[in-house]
Amino acid sequence: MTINAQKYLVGIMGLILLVSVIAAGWLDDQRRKKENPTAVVVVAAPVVSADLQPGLKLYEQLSCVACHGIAGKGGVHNINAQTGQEVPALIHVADSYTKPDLIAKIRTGVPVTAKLNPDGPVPPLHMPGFKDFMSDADMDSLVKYLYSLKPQGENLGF
Amino acid sequence: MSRLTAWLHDRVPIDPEELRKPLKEPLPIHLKQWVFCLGGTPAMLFGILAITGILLTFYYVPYPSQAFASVTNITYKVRMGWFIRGIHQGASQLMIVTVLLHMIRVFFTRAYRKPREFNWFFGVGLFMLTLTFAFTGYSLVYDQLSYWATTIGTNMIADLPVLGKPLLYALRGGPTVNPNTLTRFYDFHIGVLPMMMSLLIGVHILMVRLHGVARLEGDPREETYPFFPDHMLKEVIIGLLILIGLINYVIFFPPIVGALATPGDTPGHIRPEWYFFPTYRWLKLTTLSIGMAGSICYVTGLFFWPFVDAALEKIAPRRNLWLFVGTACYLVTIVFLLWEAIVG
Repeated sequence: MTINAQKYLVGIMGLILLVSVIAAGWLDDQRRKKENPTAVVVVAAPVVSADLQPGLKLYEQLSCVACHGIAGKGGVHNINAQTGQEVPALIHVADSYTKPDLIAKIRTGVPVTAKLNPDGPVPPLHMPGFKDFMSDADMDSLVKYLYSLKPQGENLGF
Repeated sequence: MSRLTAWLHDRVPIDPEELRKPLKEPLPIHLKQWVFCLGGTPAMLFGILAITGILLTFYYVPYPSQAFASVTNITYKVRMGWFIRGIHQGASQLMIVTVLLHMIRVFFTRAYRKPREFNWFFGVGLFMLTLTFAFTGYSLVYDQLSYWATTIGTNMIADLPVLGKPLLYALRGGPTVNPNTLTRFYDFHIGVLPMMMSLLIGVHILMVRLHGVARLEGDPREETYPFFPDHMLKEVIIGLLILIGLINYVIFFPPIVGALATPGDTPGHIRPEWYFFPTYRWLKLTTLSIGMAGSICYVTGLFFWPFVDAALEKIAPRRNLWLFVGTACYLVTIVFLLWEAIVG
């Protein structure tokens, strides 16, 4: 290939590169519109009382925090999940679950996350079951911690 | 000399002509073939990896409770995050492929022979660093596959003689993969390894400059051609081809995240990334100790290959034993890779 031909080739490839980058930018815009993102703010873990420490430790060790967020505030994106395309927050579990129900949920997990749009992609995150690696005492500590996440002074209901 | 050049020269007393010399360096005519232009490709990819890697560190949080969430954040929320992560991921895979192709080219043209043995060492060192880079980077994602691949990968270290167990503990920061492991791997991935890689790439290129590009065995042609612009244009074309290929690959196959790493919940089917398939298959065929011993011998043989070649030449001159041994090793590696890829 002659030098001149190579120079032309570089020019053409430069153009293709430019078009490819523009296409990626356009695609990014489309993805963002579709997924309706909100900003994630990483905040420091809150200080909890001594009796809640074992539960908080488990919450971090078992990686619950990775999906449900610090202090159970949620916000981790889960594309096409029925729960607002996010992993649900846990701050209101005290209102939504009785203790046995919550324990059962932690034990079995949520093997399949329900889809928001039935024709859309499978949500990448689902909750694993923890029945094999938590003792009853661990479960009590975790549930106690989760119940404590309810915002102070907030009273739901009529 | 213009006034500006003279002003600059007073303050930085380097002759511009000296700087232009490497650009004008005459290269052997066989370098006009594309297959001989592969050496610069890993360096270009390293540049792409460095830029995208720095961008990823803006959003990545190297702590188990937040690593996975930050990768999910990068992939689905951060503007162009999926794109940057995809390019980083693709470039790392491509870097391994191009380093391998370059090594195969150097091997089969015997460009490693006297007086270029040291540069072969540096080259193999760069290959090992590339694999370490890929391994540490993969583990940072902190999904199920990467967590368990890290567990398996680090487990192998325990079987190294004498130093195995202390080394494993030092690497993991504990008996199992834990928060310390992630921060240590992160330090290596963004600090220690890039520094070592930059240094080795520099020395590797310097050695090529000191010795000059090796002449092709059996090629009687004495003609040369200049590095700039002739050879440089070829490198630019390859660089553009890589960028276009990578960008379009990411557009059509954007990166995703797997399930969150759950210590204690071992997935049914775990295996390392493809570049460890040959080692993994080999380890499956033997006991762990024999497997590790074999792997160490293989890597040592690869490092010292220029001397092994010279020894084989002495034992049986002009019998091309190097070609038989080398081809056999490459074939076995490829068979193991395909075997693991297909059968798993």
